Amino acid sequence: MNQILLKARNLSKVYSNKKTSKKALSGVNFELFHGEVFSLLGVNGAGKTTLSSLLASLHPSTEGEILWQNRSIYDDLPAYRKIIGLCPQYQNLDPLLTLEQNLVFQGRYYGMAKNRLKERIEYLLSRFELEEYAKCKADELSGGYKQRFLIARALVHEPTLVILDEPTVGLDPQVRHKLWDYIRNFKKEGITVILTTHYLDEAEKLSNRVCVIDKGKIITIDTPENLKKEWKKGNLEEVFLHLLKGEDEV
Amino acid sequence: MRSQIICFLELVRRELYLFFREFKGRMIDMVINMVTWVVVFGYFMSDLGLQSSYGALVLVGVIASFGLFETVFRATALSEDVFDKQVSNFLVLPMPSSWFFIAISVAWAISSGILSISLLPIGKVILWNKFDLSKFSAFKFCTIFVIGNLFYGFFALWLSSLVVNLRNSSWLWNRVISPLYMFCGFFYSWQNAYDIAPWVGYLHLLNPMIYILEGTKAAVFGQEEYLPFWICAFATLVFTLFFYVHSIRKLKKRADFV
Repeated sequence: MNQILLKARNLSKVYSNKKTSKKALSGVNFELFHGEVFSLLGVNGAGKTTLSSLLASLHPSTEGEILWQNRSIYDDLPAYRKIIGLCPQYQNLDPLLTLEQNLVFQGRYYGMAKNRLKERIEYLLSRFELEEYAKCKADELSGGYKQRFLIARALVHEPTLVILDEPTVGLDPQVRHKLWDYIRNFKKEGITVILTTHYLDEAEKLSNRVCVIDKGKIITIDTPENLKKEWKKGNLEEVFLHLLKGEDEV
Repeated sequence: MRSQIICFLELVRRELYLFFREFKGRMIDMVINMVTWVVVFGYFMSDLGLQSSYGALVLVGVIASFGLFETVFRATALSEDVFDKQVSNFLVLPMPSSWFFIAISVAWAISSGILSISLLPIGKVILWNKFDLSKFSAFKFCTIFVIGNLFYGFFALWLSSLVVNLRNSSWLWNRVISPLYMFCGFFYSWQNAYDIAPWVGYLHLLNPMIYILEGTKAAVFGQEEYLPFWICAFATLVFTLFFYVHSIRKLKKRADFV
């Protein structure tokens, strides 16, 4: 797991328009290892989604670079994008298509061969328990099923890095636990996961390492166990509150 | 590069797939609309003193300007999707992000072309001997038809890059679409405008649609009374390029894509 997949070097992001300018990320440095679940933690507006959007190549960084295979991802963006599966915070399924059609088009965008795509769709619908909804339109699904399907769609082209942006927000506990099982299975399959969440129990249970972000800056990166040990706290939530309190005092 | 082109073509295919699902209904709407215009101007108005050939002029005007209305409706939907971040999945596909918007525009151009081309034979049947095709140039017609529809595709993209607040987008119709349409040479030729006063004619040259209308009429009715065909084709291409560059720049800013 210690093989480096991505490196972020001095990343910063400024959102600006004619009237205002807001620094959402500043001087972000870290390494992402193959096969790990790396959670981005922070309060609302801390910069988690901004960072995951930059890593997903959805938005460009203002400064700094993201290195993949020791080259900037922008040197060969289409190749980098092939290894990524993005499950965004917003449910952006194609409402006019059935679930099956959503997956078919998604696979085609990545140039998947017809037979391989068919197998993959059958596998994903079965794995995410969506077979009976295959012919339903995305709009007909409940929130939990939509979220499952978003993850399934992100996996169609067999990415090695999956970016999950707050995948369990607003879901009931049963569905959340179901999604946790899926994420645990990613680990077993060697898929690297970037998980953005503000549920600390979720991060503690699923992550190999957590990255706490506040006001656009990384406060700490470590395993949940090390963090608890270092700050002598019983759970990650207490560590998190302690760290943010410390930041506020600074 | 091959995989990027495949991705691009699949996006076009998706748009066309959605278009063909509602093809029948839209075809019916469009034919009713065209027949209404042509019958009123080709038959009823000629009894009130309008030239009997005016119906044919209106028919060609409908064919040449159809793309404007066809694509504008889609532009507002795209604008909404960009605003709601519904397009994020398309912006991380394995190709340059701007290609998504180009694919959408190309698909709009194709779908508007498919619908409007069918108006020509239907219009001929309705007008019959009132629609003289003796000077019809198939090559010129196809050229301006393809370029014209591409123009509408990218013009719609440009409009979608302008609309920020959909609840307050009536200005788009009142300030952009209506003047553009009324002064595009649908009801008259550029020469008629020039005859009123030269400056009126020159002012019309600022309207990109005048070139599509004049070019199409020149291809169908012959060159004599219209602006030179190849100037029209070239000007339409230049405007298409302008709207492409400007809309991508604006959308890049709004969606903040790579």
